[in-house]
Amino acid sequence: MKNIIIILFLGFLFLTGCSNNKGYKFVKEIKLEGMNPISAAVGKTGIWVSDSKNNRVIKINESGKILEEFNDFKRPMHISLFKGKVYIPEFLNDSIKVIGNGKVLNFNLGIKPNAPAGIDVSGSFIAVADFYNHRIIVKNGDSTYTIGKKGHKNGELFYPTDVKIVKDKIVVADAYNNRVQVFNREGKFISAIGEKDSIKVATGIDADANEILVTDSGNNRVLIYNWKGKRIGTLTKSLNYPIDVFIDRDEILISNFYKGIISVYRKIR
Amino acid sequence: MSQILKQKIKIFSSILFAVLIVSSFSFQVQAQQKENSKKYIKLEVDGLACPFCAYGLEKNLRNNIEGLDDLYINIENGYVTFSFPKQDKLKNKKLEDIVEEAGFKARKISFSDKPFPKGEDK
Repeated sequence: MKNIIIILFLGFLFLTGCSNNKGYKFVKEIKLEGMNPISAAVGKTGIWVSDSKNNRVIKINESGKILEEFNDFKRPMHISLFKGKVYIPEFLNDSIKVIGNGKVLNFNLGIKPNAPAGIDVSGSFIAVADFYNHRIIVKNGDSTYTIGKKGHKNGELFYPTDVKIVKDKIVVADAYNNRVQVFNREGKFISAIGEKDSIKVATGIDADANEILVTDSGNNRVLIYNWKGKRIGTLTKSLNYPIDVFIDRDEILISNFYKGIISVYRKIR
Repeated sequence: MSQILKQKIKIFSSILFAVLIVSSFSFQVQAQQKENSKKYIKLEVDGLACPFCAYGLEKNLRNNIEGLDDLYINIENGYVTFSFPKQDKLKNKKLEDIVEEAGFKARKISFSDKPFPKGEDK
């Protein structure tokens, strides 16, 4: 009997250890005085933030202290980090800038966007949310192509604001269709997510192998979906017009535009 | 210290003080002239719900109004204020078209010779 209890107890511990995440717990707020953060991304040496109000991109530590500052951007939006470089879409200039080795350089996308709102870089692939053209621009090496067109049907976009490349998929924050759309890398529509959840402007997204997170700005919440499109969680604590979300292994960072804070949540296992 | 040196320091200080006073006055006059050479506009807009919309409107205004300056956006209360050179004529129709092109509707357009007070963001 004693052995059975021990085996059951060990089995319980094993199952607990193997289980997937059971949601997120609010940890802290990083205050950014006098800023309207659009996006935050965790790098090796700090957290990069696009501060659209002050037209700059900054690197901060976990307390919010500014470590590096790059000015004179024209409304920097949803940024992306890849191999130590920061990729920045400039909404007013219709251009992409890259910060690397302390310098700011121009990046040629091949097709000119009209108000680029979000960017993601993964290997040779670069995807840009082309806000006023209602499409995603994808650059792979020397070739550039577009995904989507203006509209409300599956595969069509209405003012996309953010994009993420996850393995062979491209996930789009289809902001004013109030949903997320998933495409393959060639641009074929796969699924629409969140259409029945009364989202009020789907402004920012991030995704990993298990989940897709979307900021529902107008409802002050972040919705969590699995890849089948089932809603598996909702975050509301400390959120005030959340506009972007960033997954950093066991933590997520949520940029709150009006409140000027980054909310940090941790995965519960 | 000799009496002559003391006198020289006194004269130099007086000249420096006078220069500072004149410069300060001159800066004030210049600033006033600059302000007088501008016309100010407050655009109240329907549907200005998010930063992307607000910056979209900003983009359209900057692309279509030469000499636009002092731009301030209050997203929460849905309005934009800015200045433009007084000698330029800017009609309501043009402003309405610019707002419409950005995807919104101008609810009210106000002109002023002085800057509009800035409201607090949320």
